[in-house]
Amino acid sequence: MLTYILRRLLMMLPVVVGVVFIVFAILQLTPTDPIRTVLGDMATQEEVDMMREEMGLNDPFFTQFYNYVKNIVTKGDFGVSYINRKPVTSEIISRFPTTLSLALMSILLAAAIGIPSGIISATRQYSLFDNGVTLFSLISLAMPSFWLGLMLIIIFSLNLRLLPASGFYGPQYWIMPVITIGTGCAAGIMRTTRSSMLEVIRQDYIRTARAKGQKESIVIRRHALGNAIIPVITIMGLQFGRQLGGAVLVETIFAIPGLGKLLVDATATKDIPVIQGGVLFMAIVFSFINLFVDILYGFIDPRISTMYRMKKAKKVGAANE
Amino acid sequence: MKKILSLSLTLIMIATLLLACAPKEESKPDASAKPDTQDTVIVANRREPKTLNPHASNDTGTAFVTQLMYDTLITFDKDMQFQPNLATKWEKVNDTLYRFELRKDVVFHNGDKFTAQDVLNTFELAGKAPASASTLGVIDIGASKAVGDYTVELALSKPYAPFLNVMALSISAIVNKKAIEEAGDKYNENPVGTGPFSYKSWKTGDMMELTAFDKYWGQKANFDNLIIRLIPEATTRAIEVETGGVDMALGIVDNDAKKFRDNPNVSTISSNILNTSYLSFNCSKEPFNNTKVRQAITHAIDAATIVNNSTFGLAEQSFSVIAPGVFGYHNPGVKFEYNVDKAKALLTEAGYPDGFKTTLTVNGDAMAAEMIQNMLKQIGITVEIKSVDFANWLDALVNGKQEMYIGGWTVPSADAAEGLEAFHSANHGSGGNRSFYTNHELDGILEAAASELDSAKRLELYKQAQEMIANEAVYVNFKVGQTHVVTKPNIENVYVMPTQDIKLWLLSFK
Repeated sequence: MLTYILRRLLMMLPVVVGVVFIVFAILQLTPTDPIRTVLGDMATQEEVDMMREEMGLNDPFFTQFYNYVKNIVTKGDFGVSYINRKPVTSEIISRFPTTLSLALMSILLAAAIGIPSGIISATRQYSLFDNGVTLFSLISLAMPSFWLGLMLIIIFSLNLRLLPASGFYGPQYWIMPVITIGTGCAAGIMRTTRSSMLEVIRQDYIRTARAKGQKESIVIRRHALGNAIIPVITIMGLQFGRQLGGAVLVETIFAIPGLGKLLVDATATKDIPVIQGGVLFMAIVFSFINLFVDILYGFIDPRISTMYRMKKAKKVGAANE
Repeated sequence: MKKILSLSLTLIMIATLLLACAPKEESKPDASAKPDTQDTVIVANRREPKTLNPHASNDTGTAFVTQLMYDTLITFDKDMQFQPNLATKWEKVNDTLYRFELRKDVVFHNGDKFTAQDVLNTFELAGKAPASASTLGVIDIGASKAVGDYTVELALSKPYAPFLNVMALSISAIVNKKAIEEAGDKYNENPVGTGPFSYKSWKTGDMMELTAFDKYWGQKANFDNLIIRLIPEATTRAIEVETGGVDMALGIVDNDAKKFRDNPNVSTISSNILNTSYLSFNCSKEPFNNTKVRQAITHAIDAATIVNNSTFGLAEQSFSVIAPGVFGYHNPGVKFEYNVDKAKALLTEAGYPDGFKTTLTVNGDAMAAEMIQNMLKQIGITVEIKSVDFANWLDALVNGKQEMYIGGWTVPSADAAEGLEAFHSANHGSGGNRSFYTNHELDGILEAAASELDSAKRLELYKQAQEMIANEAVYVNFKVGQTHVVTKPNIENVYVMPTQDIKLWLLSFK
């Protein structure tokens, strides 16, 4: 398993380098001038030219790329924001914990709602509960998150005065943003759990377990769920990764200083160092999430961890021959 | 057993991660204190500053904060008249020399005494900074000098009529050179001014905290702490004031402002600012290089209806390219009234009896764009709306990629010299002439006005310029810019300057 993990970590390097190069190239090739955007429409061309020279933006493409990579590798310096001149690393690091906690809470809520309702829907297919949950999930998937967020603010903040309308300063601030994101994620998890469970409970070994007189709860929990959970873990991993970089609408409505909002604002103002640093950071985080999910597969499904070990055994065997 | 243990450990780990990542309760701003003991005021803004160095950017988010932390030599009052600030007296010695007598009781936030040398240092730095060089580069720092500690003479490289206006802008704020050089890249964490509020902390993307400066030379704030929260969504800002989460919200949109006017739980302040919005053309491209086409389009557009509908009846219609309140403003009247038949006739005369296809580049302004599209359809012009983000909108306008566009023009110095120079043919694109309009007779008028120092003659020249621009239908004027601020009802003495500054240290409680 350790070898597998190390191999995966090494494989991240070309992925990360590739992402950096592609993003750098795309940003250089877009037609808008980032300094013109930073200084605003009232700035003169002399002011724009002065700042471009100051920031080394008139250097050739490969010179700029080389300097960028060199600074990262030798000094861990991802550059400074064109907008506020703050180091990119401090901008990202200051916002990441907020986004991480928002994403984590949302996924946990989504799993707490989605997995049990998916299981019950599958075991009571076509029942009132199943139809109700299916309807709920379709509505949740179709409903824009910003609309749901605004409705929650109007109901719980403005009308009922129960919860604060914006910010992320404590537990009472977390409730509405987490519900907003979690509802949409729950729908996806519910649908995946339901379809995966339906496939599994039709298998022969489930019939065998029931024929042996096993309690239904144990049949579902021990025999069915373990086999059905793999696709659900995959979906949860993907959703978690997406929320880490993409909860921008929710962050805007609830005024949460998160990473998604930082990246979208940087893209709108063409704050290139922040975009590059943010995308690179997200690529690394997403790679780690994928690795974590793959390792989790190994813990959940012994066949997969055996496969990881068998690969190692095959290699050792081949070396001995 | 093993599985239960693993699950328990996983849950404990996640809970620890959540608790570690979540912000602390103490950092939550609290606007619920009783009015008579209120020591903190919380303001919700839609933009945060880009920097805390007034010479590094002149955007509205930055200017709002820097005018709280820094002082200028002179300032505007509510009626846009000059008032003493760090300078107690000033005189124009000759066309290129101004003398300022300075206050003797001013200290910076770091304890340094303010002297004439700080003024010279400020404009030396400003002359080299990208955001301020063109505005303040007119100061000839080599020929300027301090006369003792409390008198300074500022020399100009050429006569410049709006010089005193510029001295009142936040971009001319007096800074502490030593603090800037010592802090270097960390200046945003250690800004030093002489203003009524000093810096405490700034969590970018979230909030900034300022503290009332106890050694401020002027009227001290009636409260100790000022928190400026960034809340980008307008509806959320409005709800926060209504529910008491913040004391004041800026940048309220028109439909919310209209609702708030009938709400006894909040106070609404609406102010005109030195901005106008308009529809314009790329006059270097066909068919907009044809004056009759532009005049026909102006006849076809019911500007009053667009303004009324898009601002819910709150904004005033504008009749010139610069806002009332700008020195040199002239209302040339409506040259091409809304008349679809006249529009069709003029378009036919211009050689387009069947109309033509064109594009309209906008950044926001969706309602106005759709109304324009419908109105021009009546005279056979098919408009494709290109709604783009700010960066692409600006790129299009600076490089002349647009055909028609909706834009806005702000004159922060409140002087037509800066407002109308954008129409000079030497200023196409990045110079401000986004319409790529060329008229050598207009160029002559603007050049004469730029070198004229007599106010009455300047006014006459700017009147001629605005008449000419109106006759040529370069702009279809829409509205005078307006901003809405909403406060809790216990707050008074808040007003928005035409420059969009809000002198929060004058705020008081009922």
